[in-house]
Amino acid sequence: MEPLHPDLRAALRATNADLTDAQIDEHEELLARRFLLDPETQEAEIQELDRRREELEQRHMPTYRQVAQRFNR
Amino acid sequence: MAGFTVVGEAVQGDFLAAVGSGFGTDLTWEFETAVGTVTVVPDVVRPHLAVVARLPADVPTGPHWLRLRSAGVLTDRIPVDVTARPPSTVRVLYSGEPKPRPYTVVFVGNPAIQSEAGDAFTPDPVLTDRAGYHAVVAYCLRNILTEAEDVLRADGTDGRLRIVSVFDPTLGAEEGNSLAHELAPNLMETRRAGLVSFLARFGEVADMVFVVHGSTTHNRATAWFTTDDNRPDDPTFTYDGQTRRHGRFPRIPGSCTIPTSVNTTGMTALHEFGHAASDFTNGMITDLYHDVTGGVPVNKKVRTQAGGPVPGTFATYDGTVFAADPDRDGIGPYPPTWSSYHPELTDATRPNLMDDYWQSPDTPRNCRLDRLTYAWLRDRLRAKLDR
Repeated sequence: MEPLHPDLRAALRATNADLTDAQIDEHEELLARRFLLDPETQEAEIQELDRRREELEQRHMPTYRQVAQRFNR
Repeated sequence: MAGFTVVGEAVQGDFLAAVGSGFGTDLTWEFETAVGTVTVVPDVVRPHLAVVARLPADVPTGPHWLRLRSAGVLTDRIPVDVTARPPSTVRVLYSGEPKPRPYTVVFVGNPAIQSEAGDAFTPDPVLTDRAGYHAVVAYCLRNILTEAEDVLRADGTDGRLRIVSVFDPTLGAEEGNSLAHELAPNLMETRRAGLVSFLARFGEVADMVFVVHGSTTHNRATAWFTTDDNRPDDPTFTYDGQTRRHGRFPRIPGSCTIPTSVNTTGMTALHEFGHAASDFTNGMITDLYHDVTGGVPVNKKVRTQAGGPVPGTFATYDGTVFAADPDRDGIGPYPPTWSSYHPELTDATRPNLMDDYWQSPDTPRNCRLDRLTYAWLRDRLRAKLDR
């Protein structure tokens, strides 16, 4: 997985006032765990990690999509 | 620089590759027409291969003589007939080693994107962006073959690789044509289970697939490891005393997604290749920019306690002892909360290619793999190349 660009991390922090680097790291780690699992045999575990990650996004970084899209432009 | 040949037809707007030897990085192509000479600068140059991502319309249709120039030396000229027919659906950029199953890297223009929820398939914008697709293929080839990390070109390795492009703009937005799945909030993953059957429709069997897509909302690249088709006669190796195999054939090829909007200052293509070329069961080349461990990693281990001392030795691979990276050189010390640690770097002044290459003090393009991963991946590639 492509490393999170430091400018995107900074933009996430800037637009989500209470967001911490530790929460971004937790999000990254849930993603990382997902991509270590085999989708042929561990689909349920992958879905559970995605669910936990979505919860984290909604709670701490609800503007992630918008920030990422602005960053891309 | 001796003679050369052109691979396939010369078509305006399509890839065009020249094959020979002794090509220098200053190589240019000179098309002689009845009214003058048009010079074209290739997008990718290796000593045996030069690729023009899109033959420009400046080279008019009709018969030409083509010469190559490098270091002031001109080759003999060969006849080339340039046409304006539609670009090829399947284009072989380099045929690789002349054998039944050369190690094959396939670039695919993804026809359809599966939604995050998985319930809808929409046309991938890349199918209406030929120029963007060709530019990304050229970026990927430069990235994996010409930057500081030489794992794919040392000892002429890339001269044995078959390289193919598949781009079919006629395919509809349906499940059987979808090789990419949106993953919230901004990632794209390959639909790896469909790769083998999709490529079989075009007569291709891949070891590694780059799925090129045009999404502007889900454009963080990801990769899935290969699933080896393990066979009893695959070569074995030992890793810390355990015997494993370098699978010669894949059951499911390694794969990654690359967006047309990829940040070309980074090392995304080769970084994702590193993951994808490794394997779920015989050894995973994992990301090093977080503390997560799992599976069968080649390049990451865990200390007995977070922040504890890093052992001097990382691993013994096939009888050779590889040192650990004591300080996560190139980025700074391991965070005190981390338990994981990495193998010794080849270039201790820059981050590991599998770590956060964006932190490189000059350019990510100078980042290298660590010594162990390099040796392991070279052996794995050799097992496949020698099959």
